[in-house]
Amino acid sequence: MDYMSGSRALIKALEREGVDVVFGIPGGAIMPVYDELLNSGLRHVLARHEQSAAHMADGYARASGRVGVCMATSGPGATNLLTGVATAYLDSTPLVAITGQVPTYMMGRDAFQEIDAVGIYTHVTKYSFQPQRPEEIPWTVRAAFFLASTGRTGPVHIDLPKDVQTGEAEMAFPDAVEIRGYRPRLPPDPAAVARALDMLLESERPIILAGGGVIKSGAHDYLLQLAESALIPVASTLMGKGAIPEDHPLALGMVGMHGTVQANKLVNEADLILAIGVRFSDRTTMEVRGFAPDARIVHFDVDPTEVSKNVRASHAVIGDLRSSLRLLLEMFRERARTGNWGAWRRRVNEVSSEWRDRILGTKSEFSPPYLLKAMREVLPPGAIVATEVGQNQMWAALYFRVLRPRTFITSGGLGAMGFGFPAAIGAKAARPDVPVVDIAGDGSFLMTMNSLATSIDEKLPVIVVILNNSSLGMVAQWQRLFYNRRYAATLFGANPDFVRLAESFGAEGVRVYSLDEFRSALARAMRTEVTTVIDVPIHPEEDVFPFVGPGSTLSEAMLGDGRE
Amino acid sequence: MSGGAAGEIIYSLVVENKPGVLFRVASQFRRRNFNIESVAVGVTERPDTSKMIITMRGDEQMAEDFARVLSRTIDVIEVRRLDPGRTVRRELALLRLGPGGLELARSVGGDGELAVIRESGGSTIAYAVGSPEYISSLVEVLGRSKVLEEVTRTGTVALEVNDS
Ligand SMILES: Cc1ncc(C[n+]2csc(CCOP(=O)(O)OP(=O)(O)O)c2C)c(N)n1
Repeated sequence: MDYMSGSRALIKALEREGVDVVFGIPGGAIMPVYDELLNSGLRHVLARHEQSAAHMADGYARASGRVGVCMATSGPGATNLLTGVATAYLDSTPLVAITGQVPTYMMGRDAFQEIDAVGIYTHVTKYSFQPQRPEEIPWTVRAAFFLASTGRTGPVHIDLPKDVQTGEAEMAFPDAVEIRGYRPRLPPDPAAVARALDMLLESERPIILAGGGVIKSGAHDYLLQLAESALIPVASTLMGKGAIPEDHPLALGMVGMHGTVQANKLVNEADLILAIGVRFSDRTTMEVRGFAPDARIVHFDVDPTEVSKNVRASHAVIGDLRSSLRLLLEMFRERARTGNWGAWRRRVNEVSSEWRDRILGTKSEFSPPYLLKAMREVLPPGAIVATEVGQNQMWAALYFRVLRPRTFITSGGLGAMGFGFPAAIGAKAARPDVPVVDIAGDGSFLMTMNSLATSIDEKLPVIVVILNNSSLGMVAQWQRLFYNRRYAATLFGANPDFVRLAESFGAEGVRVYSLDEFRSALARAMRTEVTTVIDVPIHPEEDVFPFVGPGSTLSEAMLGDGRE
Repeated sequence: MSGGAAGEIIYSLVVENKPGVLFRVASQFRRRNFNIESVAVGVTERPDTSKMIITMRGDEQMAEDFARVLSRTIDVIEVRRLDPGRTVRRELALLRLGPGGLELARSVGGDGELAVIRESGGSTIAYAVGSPEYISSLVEVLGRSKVLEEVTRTGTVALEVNDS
C-alpha cells in the first residue's frame, strides 16, 4: 500500500501497464495528471488537435500491437478526441483514452467545460469508467487495459474528475481484475474446429476470407501455412490487408466495393468461405443477397456476437484466432488429405492470372495505381503505410501490395478523413526503425495537417504523399457516376501550396511531375530526418476501379472501361 | 424485418447493481429502435447484482439482435431468453381510486388479486397483483369510467418454471 494522489496513481498505473508514450493535449481539468507526468519517465507527444492525439495513439497501437494511450481535457478536449476514439472502436484498436472532468461536486451544474463524457463515450468504447474516489484509479486503469487488450480489442475510456486526480489515498495496485460480465472465450472448442475442417474437406471450391482479426491476434503465420498446405486462395477485407503477403500467388487482394476482380469473382464462386476475423461489413459484402450465393460460411471469430450478424454462418468457431488456426492447421496435417479441389485450383489460377496485374480505368501513367506500384518498389517490405480516406485509400487498398502484418493502417469502419497522417506519426513513435508513409488525399490532409508541428517537434518524421486532385475525389467520383457530374461542393478553388506549407513547419516539401521524380523524391525522403510532404498533382478526374456500386452485388463491378 | 410475425419476447438479464447500468442497457434499445413493452429491475439476493426483466414484441431476428447487443454490454452478466409458454409472469399496480372505483375494480375478472391499502375520504389506494393481462384490463376498465385517479405499474416480472 502506498499513500499518494490520484494523478500519481494514474501515472504509476500506466507505468505498470508498460506504457511508454502518451499522446494528448492538456487543459484545466487534467492539469494535475500533466503535472505528474513530469515526474515520470513517460514520453508525452503533444498533438495540435485532440482528434489527432487519438489517431496517433491508434496508429501506435496498430503498428505495435500494444495498447495506445491518449489524453485530453474535459469539454472541448473530450469532444475533439471523440472522432479518434470512434475510429478505434469501429476498427477494434486497443486504446485507453483518458479525459479530465470537472470536480465531482460540480458535475451536473453545467460547469465550465463540463460535458457528460461517460454518456458520450459509452457509445464508442467497450466501456467508459468514471472513478469517484482516488483509490479507485489503480483498479480502473488495470480494468481499462484488460478490457482494451483482450477478447475483441477496442478502446476504453476513463473520465477523471479533477478532485479524484488531486485527492490522496492509500493505493493498492491489482495485478488482475475480474469483471463478471466480461469473459472473453480464448481457446476454441476442438470439436468446433474439427467440424470446420470436415466442412472444408467436403467442399469443392473453398476460399479463405481474412479480416483484421487475423492481424490483431497474430494468426497470420498459421493462416499462411494453412493456405499453403491446402493451396486455398486467400482474399482479404480492407482491415485484413497484410494477413497474407500480397505478392504471394495465393493472395487475391481485397474483396468488396473496391475489391479486386479476382477476389470478388472467386468469393462469389466459392462453395465454402473460411471467414477468419471478419465482420462482413456492408462495404465487404455489398448487396448481401448476392454475396457468395453458393457458399456455406464457416466463421472464426473471437467475438461470438459477430456470428450471423450480417451474413448467416453455417458453422462458427469462437475463440482466439491464433489458437483456432493453429489447431485447424494441426488437424488438417493429421488428416493428411485435402479436398477434391483440382478443378477449383485451375479456375483460381485462371482468374487470378488474368486479373492480378491489371490496372483498370486510369487516364495516364502518372496516376495513383502506377505511383503506388512505384512506391512498393522503393519502400522496404517492412515499411508502414497509413492512408487517408477516399480514393487515395481505395487506390492504396487495390494497388499497394502489403507484405507484412501491421504495416497497413487505415480507417476502415469509420472512414475518418484526417486519420492517416496522425496515425502515421503514432506508428513512427512505435516503430522508429522503419519508414512510415501516409498515402493522402489533399482534402483529408487538410483536416489534420497541423500535425506537421507535432512531427517536427517530436522528431517523428514521416512521409506524406498527397495524391492531389484538388478535390474531394471520392465524392466527386460518385457525382461523376451517379449524380450526372453535378459537383456539389467537391472541387477546391484554392488549395495551399503544400510544398511551402510543409516548409513553413520546418518540414521538407517537394512536388513531382513524373514517376521517376516520384521515385527519387521518395528515396530521398527516406533518408531525410524530418517529415517530407510529396505533392503529386494528378489528373482531377481519375476514378477508382473496380467499383461495385451501391446496391450492386460483388459480381457486378464497373471496371472503368466503359463496358459497365 | 424478416423471421416471421411479432411475438412476445421476454429476456431475463442479470446485471451489475451500480450506476449507469440502466443507461447502458437502454442505449442499446435505442440504437436498434427496439420497442420495449416493459422493464422491471430489482436487486437480487446478492446486493451487487440486479435482475432485469424486459418484455417486448418482435420477430426472431429482433430477439437475436437483442441478445447480441446485450451480451456485448459489459455490465450485463447474463442474458437469458425466457420461453413465454413456460414462464410465470406477474405485475403489480398501485391504484388511486375515486368514489365507486373499488367496486368497479372488484368486478374485473382475471388472473390476479386486488386489496385495499388505505382509505380516506372518498379516495382509496389499492394494489392489484396479477398477470400483466389482468392489470391491463383493470386499468382499461377503470380508466374508461373515470374512477381511476392515478396508476403506477411495476412492469412485468417473470420466472421460468423448471419442472419438466
Ligand atoms: C471526416 C469525414 N468527412 C467527410 C467524409 C466523406 N468523404 C469520404 S471520401 C471524401 C473525399 C476525400 O477527399 P480527399 O481526402 O482529397 O481524397 P481523395 O478521395 O481525393 O483521394 C469525403 C469528403 C469522410 N469520410 N470523413
